[in-house]
Amino acid sequence: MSNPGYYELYRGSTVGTTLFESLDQLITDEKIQPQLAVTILSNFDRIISDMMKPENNLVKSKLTFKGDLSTYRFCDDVWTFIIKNVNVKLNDVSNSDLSDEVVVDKLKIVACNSRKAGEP
Amino acid sequence: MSYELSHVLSSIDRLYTSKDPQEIQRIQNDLTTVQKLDNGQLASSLLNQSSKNHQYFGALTYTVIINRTQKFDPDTLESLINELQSHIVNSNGMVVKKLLSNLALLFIFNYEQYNNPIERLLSLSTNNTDLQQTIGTIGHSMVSVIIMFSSIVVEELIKKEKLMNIHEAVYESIFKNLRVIYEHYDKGMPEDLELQILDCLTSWITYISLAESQSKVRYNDVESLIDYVFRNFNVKSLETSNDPEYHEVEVINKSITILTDILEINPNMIKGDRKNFLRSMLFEEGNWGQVFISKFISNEELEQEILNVINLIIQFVQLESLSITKNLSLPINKYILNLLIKLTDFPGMAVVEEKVSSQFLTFWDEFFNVFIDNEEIYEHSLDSLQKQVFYNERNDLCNTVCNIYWKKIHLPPLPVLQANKSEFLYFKSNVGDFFSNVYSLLKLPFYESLTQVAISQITNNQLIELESTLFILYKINEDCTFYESQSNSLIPFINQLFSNNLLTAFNSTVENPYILLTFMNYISSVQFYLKTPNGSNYLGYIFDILFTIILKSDLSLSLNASKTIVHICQECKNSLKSFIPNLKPLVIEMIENSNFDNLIRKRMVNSFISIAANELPSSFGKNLLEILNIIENKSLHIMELINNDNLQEDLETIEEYLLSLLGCIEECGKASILSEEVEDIFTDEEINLINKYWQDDKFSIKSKIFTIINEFSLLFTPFINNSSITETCCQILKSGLNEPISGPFKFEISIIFEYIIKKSQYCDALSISYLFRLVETIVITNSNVLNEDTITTLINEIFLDKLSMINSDPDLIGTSIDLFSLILDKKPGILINLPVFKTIVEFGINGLSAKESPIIKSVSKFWVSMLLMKKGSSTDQQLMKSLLITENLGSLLTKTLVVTFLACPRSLLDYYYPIFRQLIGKYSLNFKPWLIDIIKVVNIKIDDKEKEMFVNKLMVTRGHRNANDVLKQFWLNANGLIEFNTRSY
Repeated sequence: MSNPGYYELYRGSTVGTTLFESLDQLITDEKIQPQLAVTILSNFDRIISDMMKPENNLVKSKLTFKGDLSTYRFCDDVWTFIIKNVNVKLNDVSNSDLSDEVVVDKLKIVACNSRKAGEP
Repeated sequence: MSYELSHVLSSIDRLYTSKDPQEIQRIQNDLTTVQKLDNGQLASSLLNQSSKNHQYFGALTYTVIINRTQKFDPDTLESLINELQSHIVNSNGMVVKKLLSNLALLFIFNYEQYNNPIERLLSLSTNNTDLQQTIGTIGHSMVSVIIMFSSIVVEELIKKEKLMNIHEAVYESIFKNLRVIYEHYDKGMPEDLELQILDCLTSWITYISLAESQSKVRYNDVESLIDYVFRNFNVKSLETSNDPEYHEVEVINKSITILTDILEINPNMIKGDRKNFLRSMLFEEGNWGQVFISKFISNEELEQEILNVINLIIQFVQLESLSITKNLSLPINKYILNLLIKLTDFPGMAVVEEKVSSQFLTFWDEFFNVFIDNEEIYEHSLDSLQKQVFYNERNDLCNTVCNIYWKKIHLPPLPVLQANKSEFLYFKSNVGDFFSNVYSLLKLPFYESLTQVAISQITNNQLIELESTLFILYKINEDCTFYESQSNSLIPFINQLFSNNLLTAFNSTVENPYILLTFMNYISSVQFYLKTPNGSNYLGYIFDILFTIILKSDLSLSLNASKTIVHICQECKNSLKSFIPNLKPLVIEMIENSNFDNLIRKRMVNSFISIAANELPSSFGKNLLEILNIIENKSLHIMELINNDNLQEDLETIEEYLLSLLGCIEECGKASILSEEVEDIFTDEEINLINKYWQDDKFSIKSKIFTIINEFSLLFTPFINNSSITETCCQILKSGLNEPISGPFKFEISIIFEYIIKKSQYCDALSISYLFRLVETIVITNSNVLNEDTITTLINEIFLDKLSMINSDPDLIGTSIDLFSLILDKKPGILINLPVFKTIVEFGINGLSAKESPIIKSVSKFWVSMLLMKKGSSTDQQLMKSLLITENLGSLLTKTLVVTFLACPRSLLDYYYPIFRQLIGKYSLNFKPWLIDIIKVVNIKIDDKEKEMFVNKLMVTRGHRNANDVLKQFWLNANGLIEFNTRSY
């Protein structure tokens, strides 16, 4: 890992993939070196992980779900769950007026130890 | 080497002064090239300059050299170390740090030869390089250099890949010297150095954990480091100081963070006596923790420090959770728990005035989870008497903590709440989840005691307290019914609450919207009770309260009330038949009166039809017809007013009202859908009766619905191009498609197709996409009745005739491709033989060039479905094979696929892989020559040999998952990019 301290989970988010593409463009246009892109992404991993920490109180939505646990594994300190026939309840807990329920066929959960973010 | 020093020096000067980005870019490129060519001569010359910028650039050039060569021969290594060290003495901070960073890199790459870095550094100031003997004489600046060097080494190692062999060298040559420094220093050093020593420790804590996990090295002798931190917690100086100095606070803060980090990352570093010392430091009366908290708890300037101390306390107790839970009666544990309870009950309003209680919430949640997770251990390790004592103490603890949080969620005065709404409600919701957790530990007796509390609050008219209790009960109810149905066991307690005048507490005098909201949420959460004979007795009273809220309160509360009514009517429809006569006039008034909110109107219609649909078909038919007639008459009247330009109200508002009237029919459709399996609701005889009734349809309800749809979407000119109207009409037509028996909304497919064809001639682009989605639903639910004949005209009308419109709208491209993928998945035979199929294929080929991810996603699915043809007959498969091989579609597809794949952005790559994999897997023999043909000529900066290797590697994968990696690597090479991710999840 280039930066073993922080997970690269959030790179798959919309903001992460958009950053990827901006960096690709900058590399292609020879505005930056690939190594700088790697450093920027390491910073992104760190900042977004820190921002998502509960103590920052930025994330106010919560979801609960129920379904049939199809597969689960714990490998390299990462839990993966695949749940089928899932009923997901979404709640913006800072605003009781907003809640929603959706049903999805399959849900994949990748869970890492948040306490280890920033540590090897 | 082709550079002139003077040119490099002036370039560096320009680099730091220029404001022209292009010039900076050009200089950076030039300097990078020079750095890459240097063998040390330039770096050395730069370091000998007087300018700090030149010196720093010299040090940076050495970094390039070291990273490029990494392992040096002994002579070069020796001269490099000497060169770098020689500049340390006379350079400034930034340059020294960079020089030390270079030495650290040299050590990491060459630790077998360069095995005494600290001694080498010491040699700069003394001939005796034994730190143990010289520590008292070398001066603070040399200590600072050693500390900085050791920090950089471990920070670099944390960033590197696994380097197991170096850890022993780090321990022997750096850590042992570092220990000498920590043993030697107490107080009295410069403030900067004191902070630097603490920062260094932070880096080492992380490193030690890494080294122990990657090697056999064990750091069993860290006591001196820990003791160094402990020395900063001096209770006497704390007692005498009322206003600690900034530096003192900073040292304490760093020390607290270090201890918290150790407990979090590697708690084994603090064991035995030191653990006892920390315990007494934190929890012993009169010791540091207690003095610090009691002295500074109300000092707002030290808020962060207080939170850090509490975090340390929590961290410590969490590690001891199991032991504490097992020995609740031990005096020390009682003392610790009492302290925690006292801190949890931090004075002030939660979130608004204090943050400590929210900080403790997660802790208590986890602490009580220990009780849940270890229930078996307590059961087996305790005798019956001990068990009794244990459970009593556990329950007392839970109740005490719950009582604190129950009080903390009492609603503050409205202005305060409005100002802190988001934070307070977030906290309240978390407390609700916490109580759900406690319920799973204490079970029904806990629920019962909460019920008793609520009853006494009803009796004493304590509305604020009652709101908190009801909120908790609502959270528990929701949890019990969402995850597993424990609802039956709760019914007796809910019944007690209702029979003790719960509803009278929420009479019309209650105006606080948050109290009413909690009441409505609670009512929504007890649907299972309201279905019972006892519960249904209260439905009338509940309706009274909820309708009063709708009629009198603001929009937000009214919306909530209408939502609660819908839930009740859907869940308790069997008990509500007798309410039809009372509800009907209300619903009719809401339909006819445009002043009601549109969403509330639709919800009320849904509520009414949910109950009515549960009656005999003849009664249901009559009620539905009445509603439809009112909607139609009202709509036609307004349409006429609009057509005659005779409208009194605002046109936009009245159009919204009209749309909501059509939406009411959609709600009728939704409410008519069977909520359970048909055989669970009706007997065979009843099913026959219902089928017959709706097939006869003596009131012509189905044609009435179609008439209204036509009136809205085809005949009323202002709505012809209104996509919301088309959307609602499509939703109405969709509502009965999946119903197993006849009903008012179950229409003949041919009639729906007729409507789609007619509507497609009069609508805008967005409306077309809703028509496509309607066809999709028909394919999903009724593919068995579809054939080539039924689909031909439809596709010609909605696709072929609209091709130019579709091609101009990215959303429509995606929607139409989605429909074709679906047909190819469900019943390919009805599509691939049509003459229009060639146009569809062409459309799919063009779609590969799209840059929008939703389109590429749809196109990828289309090609995968087409190549896979999983429900295709052997004739269908044969036809597809001939199309791909004989008619050269395969070659064209491969060519377009490769070209568009190589040009696509990184985020779209995942959508291209499955098409390649299908081609490799199913048409491998043909795919290879197709691929070679295009790869040969495609314009990329990759030589022929590499191209050939790519083809071979890709074919070896046989279309398995590893094809993705081969394709990704090829894409990266072709575009001159690198892989950013180091792992996939």
